[in-house]
Amino acid sequence: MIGLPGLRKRRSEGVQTDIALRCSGVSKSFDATIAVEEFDIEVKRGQILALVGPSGCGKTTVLRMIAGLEVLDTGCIEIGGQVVASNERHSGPDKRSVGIVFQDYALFPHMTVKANVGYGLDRKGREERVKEVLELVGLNGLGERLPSELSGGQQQRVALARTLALRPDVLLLDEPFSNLDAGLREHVRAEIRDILKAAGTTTVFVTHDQQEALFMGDLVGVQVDGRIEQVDVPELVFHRPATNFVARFMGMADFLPVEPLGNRLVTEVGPARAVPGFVPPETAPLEVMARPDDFVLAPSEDGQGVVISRVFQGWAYTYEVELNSGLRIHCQMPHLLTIEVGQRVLVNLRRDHPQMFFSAGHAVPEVPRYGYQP
Amino acid sequence: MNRPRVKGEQQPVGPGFSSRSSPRRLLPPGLRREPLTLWLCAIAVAVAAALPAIYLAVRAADSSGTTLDVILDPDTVGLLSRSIQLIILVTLGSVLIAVPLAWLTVRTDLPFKRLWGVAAVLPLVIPSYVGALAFISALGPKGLLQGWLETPFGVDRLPDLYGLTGATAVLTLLSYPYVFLTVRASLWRVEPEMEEASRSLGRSPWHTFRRVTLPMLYPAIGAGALLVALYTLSDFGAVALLRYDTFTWTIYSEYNSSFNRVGAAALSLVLLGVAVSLILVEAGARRRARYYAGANSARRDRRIVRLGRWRTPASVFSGAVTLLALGVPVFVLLYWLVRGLNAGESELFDLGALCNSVQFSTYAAVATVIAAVPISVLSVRRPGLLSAVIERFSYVGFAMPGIAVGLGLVFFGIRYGFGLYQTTYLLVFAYVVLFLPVAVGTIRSSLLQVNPRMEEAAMSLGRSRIWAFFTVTVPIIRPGLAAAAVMVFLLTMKELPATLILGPIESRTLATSIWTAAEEAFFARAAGPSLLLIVAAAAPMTFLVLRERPRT
Repeated sequence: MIGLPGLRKRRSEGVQTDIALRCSGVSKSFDATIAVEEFDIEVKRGQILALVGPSGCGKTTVLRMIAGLEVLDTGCIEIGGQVVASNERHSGPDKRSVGIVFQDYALFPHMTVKANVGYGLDRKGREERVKEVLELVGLNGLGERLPSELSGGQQQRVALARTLALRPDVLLLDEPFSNLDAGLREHVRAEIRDILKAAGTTTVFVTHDQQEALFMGDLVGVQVDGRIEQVDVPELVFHRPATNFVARFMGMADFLPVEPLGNRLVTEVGPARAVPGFVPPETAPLEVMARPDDFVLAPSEDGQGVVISRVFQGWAYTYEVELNSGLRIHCQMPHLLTIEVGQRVLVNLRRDHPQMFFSAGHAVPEVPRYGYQP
Repeated sequence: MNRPRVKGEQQPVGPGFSSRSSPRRLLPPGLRREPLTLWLCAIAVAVAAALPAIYLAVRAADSSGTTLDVILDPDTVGLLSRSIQLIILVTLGSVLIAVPLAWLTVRTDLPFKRLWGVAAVLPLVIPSYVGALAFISALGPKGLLQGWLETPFGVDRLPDLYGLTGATAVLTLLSYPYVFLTVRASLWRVEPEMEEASRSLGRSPWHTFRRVTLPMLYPAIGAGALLVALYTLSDFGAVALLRYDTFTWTIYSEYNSSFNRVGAAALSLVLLGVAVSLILVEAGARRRARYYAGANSARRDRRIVRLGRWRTPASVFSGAVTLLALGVPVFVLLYWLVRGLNAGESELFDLGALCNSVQFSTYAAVATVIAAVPISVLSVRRPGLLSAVIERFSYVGFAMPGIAVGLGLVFFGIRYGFGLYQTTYLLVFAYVVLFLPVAVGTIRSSLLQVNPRMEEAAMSLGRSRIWAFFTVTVPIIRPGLAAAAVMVFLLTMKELPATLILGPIESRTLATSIWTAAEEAFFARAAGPSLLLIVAAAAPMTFLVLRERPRT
């Protein structure tokens, strides 16, 4: 790593490890409010971790502690195998090989794109590296512009280039797409993911948008109230949520009470299907999770529910159905079939895949919080 | 399951290592992160700023019996009521002139409104004693106006200018720009959407102005009115020349003619008390009006109000204000200058005094801006109890009239000054104390516009905090630093009482030589320095006014 053009030495050298970033038991309070509590995570070199959670869950604080912009109360943060923050020590943001891209980019308004990107670089070799990185983010030719003369997407790429120029061990992105138009967002995030993968940069990326997390992350971490609720690959976080909260947060989900009858699991909308060998818990009440596409609706005067609203989404309708028990569920049906509001419907659970069961807010059988094995 | 580590596994456990007792924890969170030197600088400046006030109190307490006598003296009560009368009248007058003028120049199709906008601010460069002098010369007994009217019309008496009437008129004309500036800035920020919402809810333009626009201007009017009130309270030159006895003038004579220093100190304390009360009243009013103040900068074009048949009266109003506040003084000064030239008077332009003035003002501007930076940075970046206390201390000069700061430093200089009394150092120090709040306010508001993420970005790019500050923050706030320096320069040029008391004996400034000439009603001799002073102050002022534009 020594001798790269324009690069001042501050990365963690010498320690060979596969783990680029490790947070263990990190906690942080502001006055009386606990922002982050017992936060643990591991990210391997080159991986992208998407931290997702409702606003105020402390995800930005985690990012700022990794960057060295906040001092943690307890716990330990290691970057490339070296402790950068713990009870006893705190390396400043300028002493860690961590780059951060802020939500509002924080470009220096009085400097050209080139000067912005070269800001952290040594004079020697600066020119080449700036050129290289601008090429990487596809902005060559715009080096002499001022940030105010760029579009939002371009500004974002400048911010990214400025950080990537230093080849940080860990790159942090704080809600990077929230300032972009919806139309631009999807395009930009694909582009950014390609850039990050091309650069092979370990990345922690914070968002409140679950679609974005599922798209961007190699790993998705769901955070709530300052704690990690679940970390896993995107598919599993979506399909095998560890808790009720994760299930609801990652996508629309309804929970229906389940009555075990012999070896059948009966719900108000027919039997649910479990994985083979599933043993329902003896005491606690059991629920089955159903996503909107897990239901099948058919108009019928003998149905056990009534359609109370209908939302047209182009390729599909989402119906809200009130069951006889008073429970409301959400069903997605192809647009080919239109059911009027007020119509009685027969509701059934799809039987083509096993469902997830929950008891007291947690998945049954238990899904590990840290499901991903590196 | 891949939970990296059980909590507490690697952390040394034991009394010495618990997080609560680690040394970092002993300092407030701000101190931990910010270089200690910055805090030390800020605290030093705050203590220095409080020094004159402390010394006044010490001096008055030394002979507490006399002090109490002076404070409870019926004469003091009389002074108090005279000062308060003047403050109320001038503040009201300023608001009545400034609010319509600000509205006309921002929101209407008033002809030449750019010109009126600049002209309305320029009276700030005219020192009160020059303004008073000009009005006495123009409208006073045996003045120019009377001279012109006497021969054709036989008018041999004009309404009496001296006393409350004259002081009110002159101070109002010279201080309304404070309200004008704050109200105009606020008008630029008012969201046009709110007014449009009111109109679309079926309200007339007049109702909209009264119930929507005007209430949103209250905080700005309050802030400007406070400046006017403090200016009036601390004014020394105009009330002296117009023979309206107020605190400042009495303090000066106590100190200067009767050498009654304890009496002067006691009266200064009362003066300080009045100033602090004014600030508290405004702060209280602002707290209640807080919800009005949230207006963001609007970028859309706003509707311009068509004046229609009101165009002529509005133009006459704007013209009359400019004519009185700017035209009369400049005309009178030029008149006397020409008279002096014709009479072969030599040394009309006192270049030595100009040099001294510019020199002192430059020192003051540089020193004040440097002193203001640490306090501004901490109050913006590390809001908290400590930085708030430091910031309050730096506002002492805001509440302390020049005469009080001067006196406090005289006491300090004589007793502990090690030969500092009547040196340039102590004088410049007085200016720093007096004008620190102006600089802190200006720098603070430009710092508020710098996204703190920028410095953090710079640091995460491997640069130290101090490097980040000088390469990122300073270039961005440079206009604010320049504006602060210009304001301090301007105020120092005009400053009279502290300069009179503390100025090195051998070096005249423009202010003191005007004062000497004015005390003897030597108009011709005052005209040259006055014009020099106005020009030297107006040049940077014009630059400031032209720079300050609504952001589009």
